[in-house]
Amino acid sequence: MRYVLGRLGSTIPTLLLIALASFVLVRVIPGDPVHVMFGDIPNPEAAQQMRERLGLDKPLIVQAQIYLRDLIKGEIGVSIRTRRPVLAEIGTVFPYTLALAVAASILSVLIAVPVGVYAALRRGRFGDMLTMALAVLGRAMPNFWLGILLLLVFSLGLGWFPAIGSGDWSDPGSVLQALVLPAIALAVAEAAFLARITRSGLLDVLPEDYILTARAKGLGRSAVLYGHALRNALIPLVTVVGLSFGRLVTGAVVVEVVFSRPGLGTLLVSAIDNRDYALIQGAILVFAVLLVVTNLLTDFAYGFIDPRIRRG
Amino acid sequence: MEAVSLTRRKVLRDGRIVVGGGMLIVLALVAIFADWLAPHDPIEQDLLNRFAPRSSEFILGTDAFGRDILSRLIVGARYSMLIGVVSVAIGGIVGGALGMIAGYLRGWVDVVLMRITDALLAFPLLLVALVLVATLGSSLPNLVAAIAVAVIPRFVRIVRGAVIEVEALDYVTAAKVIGAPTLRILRTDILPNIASPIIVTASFMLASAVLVEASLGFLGLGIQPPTPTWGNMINEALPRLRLQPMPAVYPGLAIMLAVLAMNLVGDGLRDILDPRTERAVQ
Repeated sequence: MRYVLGRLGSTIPTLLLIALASFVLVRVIPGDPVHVMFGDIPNPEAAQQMRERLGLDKPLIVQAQIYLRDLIKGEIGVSIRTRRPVLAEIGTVFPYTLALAVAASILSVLIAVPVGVYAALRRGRFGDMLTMALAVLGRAMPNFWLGILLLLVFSLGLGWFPAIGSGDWSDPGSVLQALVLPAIALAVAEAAFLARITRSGLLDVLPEDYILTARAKGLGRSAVLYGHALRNALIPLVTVVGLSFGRLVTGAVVVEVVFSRPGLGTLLVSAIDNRDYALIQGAILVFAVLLVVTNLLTDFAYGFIDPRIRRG
Repeated sequence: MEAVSLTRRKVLRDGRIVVGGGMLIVLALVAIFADWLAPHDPIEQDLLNRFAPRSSEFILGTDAFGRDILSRLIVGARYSMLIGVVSVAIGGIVGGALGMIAGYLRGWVDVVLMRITDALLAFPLLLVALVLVATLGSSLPNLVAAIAVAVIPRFVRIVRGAVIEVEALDYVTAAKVIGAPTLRILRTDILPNIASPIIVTASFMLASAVLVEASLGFLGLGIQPPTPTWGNMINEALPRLRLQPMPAVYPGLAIMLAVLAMNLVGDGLRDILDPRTERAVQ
């Protein structure tokens, strides 16, 4: 319990730092948001009114105070372009990004663990070398390019999957179908990386004394593998999967663009184009909070699986 | 000297390093001599030759504006390599220096530096670079700066750990006892002994930097067209993907081969120089 509280406490300064950083960053964006909203037509009066309404005319320190006060109340502003609350804008697209990242995360583990175990058990033989060579290749493939290849073959070529969009929530089948190719595109590089971790984790564990003990007391190969070796070998994988989830959420930004899926990525890119301060700030904050929470959960899971962590 | 020649022999016998290193040398030469090697002007449009098929004149065909794809790939290599190498060099020098300071001085400096480093490490490279480029604008120096900043905390962590290990060794203690100045201890006693993890980290970071630069280019946040980069070439090819897929396929292949070469060299060097850094780098 002390461990949990300690970890929770240490995330608060991180979150404050992120909030402040996102505030500062967004203020240094070149280009005046009011100017962008009204286009190039000069209308100084209206522009000035807008600036006052958005609070952009006040000194930076005051802006920062207002920003932090609103943040604590859970208000992170209104999109300058659509005039909708930032949280609502993000809320609409967030489930798509989350679904994609979660699907890719599950998929990468489902591919990586069997492949890694196979390679470890075949260490030094052809099967090991082949899978690890494929892993090196998979890690080098840009996810957006893999997405394009999948799109060319399976959507435009064979017509098995939709080429654009995210399906319709009223038809869960279509949502899943639209998720398949982007999730694969996103998962492959991660799976390649995780397979190597699984392999080396298992190879680290196999020479341990407790494996020898288990074999010596007469347990079968598979009982030792699944009951003793794999359970310990997967401990490092938990941390790595946590970090990998962060990469997947970020990678989703890029893959969404390939498949014209709605999501945090498409939102962020268009917000950058439109100099939509509040929206960029909000999207960055959501990313940051998501990553911090993921890290926290990973640490808890790690502590839960491996009691040595809690005590140390 | 014995150890150096042994390492050199190991390096030359490692298939991954030989193949990956060979690819990197070719890539570097292509980047340096791009202007001489490119058969056509990479930017000048030739609208009569849009989407020309592969031929002896246009070896990989032309794109939507009739520009020679091969020439654009060759010039694009220059940007990928330049941005990757310079940003990793800056990130390595700054991150390495901060890591040495944290690891050698310890105390509150270490605590503060590592707090910030750990907070930044929670964010993927691409996200940090994306946010910075989105705010600063996407000029060449800004791209380099953004990727360098994203890379710094990775170096800080690796170098700090290595310094703490080396610092406990007898010859460092001896240097301290005879009253050698701190800077000299860092330079002559510690730096040469933490070079291995720095080199290994740098080769993996180079691969990541090239991927990040390509991703930013693909999102339209990298070097702006008509200047060709591998990422923005794919971005430009996207709207006509259905009828003309090849302009999107070739640049991706180039990115993959470059990243592959860097990872192969990194893998080989790690196994020889520094078998323990596998997890720490990622």
